[in-house]
Amino acid sequence: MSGRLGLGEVYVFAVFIIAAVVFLVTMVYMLNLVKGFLANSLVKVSAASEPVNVMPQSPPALVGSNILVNITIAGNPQPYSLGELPNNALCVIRLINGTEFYAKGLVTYNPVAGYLGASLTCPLGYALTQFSGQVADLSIYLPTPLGSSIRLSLNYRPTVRLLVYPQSTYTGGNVTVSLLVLNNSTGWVYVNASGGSGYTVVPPGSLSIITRGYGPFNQPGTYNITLTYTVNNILSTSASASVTVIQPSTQPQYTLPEPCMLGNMAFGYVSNGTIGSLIDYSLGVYYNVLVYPALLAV
Amino acid sequence: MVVLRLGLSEIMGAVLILVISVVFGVALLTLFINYMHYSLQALYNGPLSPHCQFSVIGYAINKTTSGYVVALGLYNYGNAPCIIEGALVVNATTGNVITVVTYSNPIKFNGFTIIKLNVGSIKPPFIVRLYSRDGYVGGGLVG
Repeated sequence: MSGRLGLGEVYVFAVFIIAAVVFLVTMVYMLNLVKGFLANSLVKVSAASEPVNVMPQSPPALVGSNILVNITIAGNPQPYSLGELPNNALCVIRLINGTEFYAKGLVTYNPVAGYLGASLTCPLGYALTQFSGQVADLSIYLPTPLGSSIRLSLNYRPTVRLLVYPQSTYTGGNVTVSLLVLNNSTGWVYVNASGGSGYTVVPPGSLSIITRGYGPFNQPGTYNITLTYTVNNILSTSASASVTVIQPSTQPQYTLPEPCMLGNMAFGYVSNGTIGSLIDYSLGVYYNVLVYPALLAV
Repeated sequence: MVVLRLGLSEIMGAVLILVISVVFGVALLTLFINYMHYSLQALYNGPLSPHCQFSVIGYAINKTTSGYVVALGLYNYGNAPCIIEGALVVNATTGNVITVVTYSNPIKFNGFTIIKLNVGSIKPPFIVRLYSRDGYVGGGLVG
């Protein structure tokens, strides 16, 4: 009996080997498919839960019938690299009476190292023009390829107070006018006051103070100081305060009022940059107010 | 003297084994390929199939003389068009269905769209659930 393998055994081995190869290749293909699907799903779930920081890059601008907003989106860039970024957005303008205007906005994205830039055009300029004094906020909703959305809001109704120190001065004296902007909302505020350059940004839930110097006042009398400011580059309004200028004499008939003492303040707060410690004791009457920006106001 | 003649039997045996092995192997391979085919088919018809997936990214509410009108910003992030045929307005607290809204002309969209929902006298807050033709349900809290 011969010990050599016959032709039949070779065929059997060949069939088995081919079957094994087909089996392995199919299994590897199948496993890779499932693995890719699961990995993609996990990345999406993980990316969707990542926090995203979104803020305006500059004040919004009204150009014709459009509102232009440049936005910075920071955080994990993964959500935005998984698919094509949607180029539409929802823009909503809300008036103080609750009426809301909405429109489809156009977005163009510009990936930058460290963050994602977005330029938005909202065709809601007519609402700002017609109801400029009644606009409460502008909300922008940006969809992501994952189905989640990014919201950015601009607040048009911050609380603004004009503070003057001192309210009374002798001829030749100067005063300091401070515009205190309190943004007690979830939206962003850009304020630009007259007599200066550039915008002051007030993040949600915080306050900012803009100071201007006035004087010297060479003639006695009462002076009305008006500071004009814009909110979010669109609404323009003004705040006024008066200064009394007194002529000094060797035997003065008038004396300057005593500065407010602690515990007898018309208005006061100690700020650490948040609004938590801000307490308004007055209804718009400020007497001998002194503002130390970001430190102490008495 | 006994002559043992194995030649024919060996050949027949080998051929028999070969035929059985090939038939068995082909049958096994066919079964396996069929199994893989149906498994992959299920995968492609299921999670890997083109289907509608949408979310409500934002909304606006207005009160008109005829009641509340909600504008919903929808984004279809799936890989097939979404066809919205109706919506449920659900009480945000109890979860009870308040009203059913049907669209006589179903809303078909890819990407982003804004749809209107007239909810009559139902005051916000409430939950809107939108139903697409392929079974996907999306929505969110309004108000």
